[in-house]
Amino acid sequence: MAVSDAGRADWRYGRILPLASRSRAFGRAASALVAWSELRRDPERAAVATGRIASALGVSPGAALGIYRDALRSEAREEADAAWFMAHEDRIPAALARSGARLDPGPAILATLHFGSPVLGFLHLSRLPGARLAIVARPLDDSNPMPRAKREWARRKVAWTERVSGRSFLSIDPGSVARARAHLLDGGRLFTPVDVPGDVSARRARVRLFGGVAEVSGGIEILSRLTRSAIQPLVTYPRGNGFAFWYGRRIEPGEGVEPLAEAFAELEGIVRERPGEWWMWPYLDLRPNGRVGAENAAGPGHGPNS
Amino acid sequence: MENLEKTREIVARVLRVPAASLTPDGPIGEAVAMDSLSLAEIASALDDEFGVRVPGDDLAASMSLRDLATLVARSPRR
Repeated sequence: MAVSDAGRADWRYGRILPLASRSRAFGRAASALVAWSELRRDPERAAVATGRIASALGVSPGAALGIYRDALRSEAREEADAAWFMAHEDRIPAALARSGARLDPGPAILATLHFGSPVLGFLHLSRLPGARLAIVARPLDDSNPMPRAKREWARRKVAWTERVSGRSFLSIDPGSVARARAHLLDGGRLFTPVDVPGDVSARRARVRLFGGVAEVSGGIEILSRLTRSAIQPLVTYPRGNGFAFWYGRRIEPGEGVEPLAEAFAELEGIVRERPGEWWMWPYLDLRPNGRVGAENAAGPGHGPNS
Repeated sequence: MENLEKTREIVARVLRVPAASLTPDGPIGEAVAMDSLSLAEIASALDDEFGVRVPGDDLAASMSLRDLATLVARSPRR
C-alpha cells in the first residue's frame, strides 16, 4: 500500500522525532531509515539530485546516489539531534565546546548553507560573548509549503531556537530586512543560509558553483553593500557526538568585490569536502556558464526546513 | 514639511517609479510594488542624503512619505 506524503511526514515528525528526543543513539540510527524512506518517496527528485552530484563532483551514478542518501540522512540527523537537544538543553555547551567556533571582530553576515547542523551552529554562536547575532530565515507560512506535521515541527524548533538564543528570527519582509540592515549598521552580526534558490526570492544573483552557474537569492549581497559588512562563510557539521565549525575566507567589502560570488567560491570547498552534508542538491539548479534557468527542477517550497 | 519633497524624490528614485505616483499620505507599499529589500534601500538612501541614521525598528512598508519625512527629521545625525 502506498503511503501518502502526509503519512510519511506524520511518521517522521510525529513518531520518530519524539523517540529521538529521548535517545540520541536512536535518533541517529533512525535518520538512516528516514533517508531510505525519502529516497523511495520521490525517485524523480533523487534522479535530479544524483545527476547534479555526478556532474558537479565527477563521480559515478552509484557514488552520487550514495552521496544523496547521505545528504538526506544528514538532514534527518539534524532534526533528530535538534529534538534531542530540545529535551537536553544543558548538553549543548559540552557538545560544542571543542567545535572551533569563533566570532571575528566587526559586523558581518555569517553566510552558511543548508548543511550539517545549521541551527545548533547558530545557537552556539549566539551565546558566545559579544555575539549580537540575529538570524534571518524564510517564514513558515503558506509561501513555504510543507506537510502539516513538518510545519508544526519546524515552528516548534524555531520557537525553541528563539527562546534559547534570546533572539527572534528576522523574516524576509521589508520591515524585517530594514531591521537587519540597522542591526548590521549598529555593529551586529547576521546569520543566514545563502543557498536559497533564486526563484523564491525577489532579487537574484548568479554565482559560479561546481563549474556552472547557480541562481540564488541576492539579498545578502545587497545587504552587504548597503552596510559595508563583511561576509564570513561558515558551516557547522557533526563530528562524533559533538560538532565542528568550518570557516572560509572572510570577504571584506570593497571596490570590485563580488561578495556573494566569492562566498560561494569558499563554500564550494566545504561542499566538495563533505558533499553528503549539503541538503540542497535537488533544489539548487546548476546550469552551464551563461545559461541560468528561471525555475529550478524540483520547484520552490519543497526544500529543507531550516 | 521641508524634506517631504526630497523624501519623495529619493523614494521614487530607489523604487524606480515616477515621483508623481507617490502621494504624501498614502502607504508607500500600497502605491508601488516593494520587495523585501526595498525598505532597506530606501533607508540607506535617506541616511546618505540627509546625513542621518534612520532607526530600523521604525520602518514599515505601511508608512507614508510624510511618515518617512517625519522619521528622518527626528533621526539622529551621523
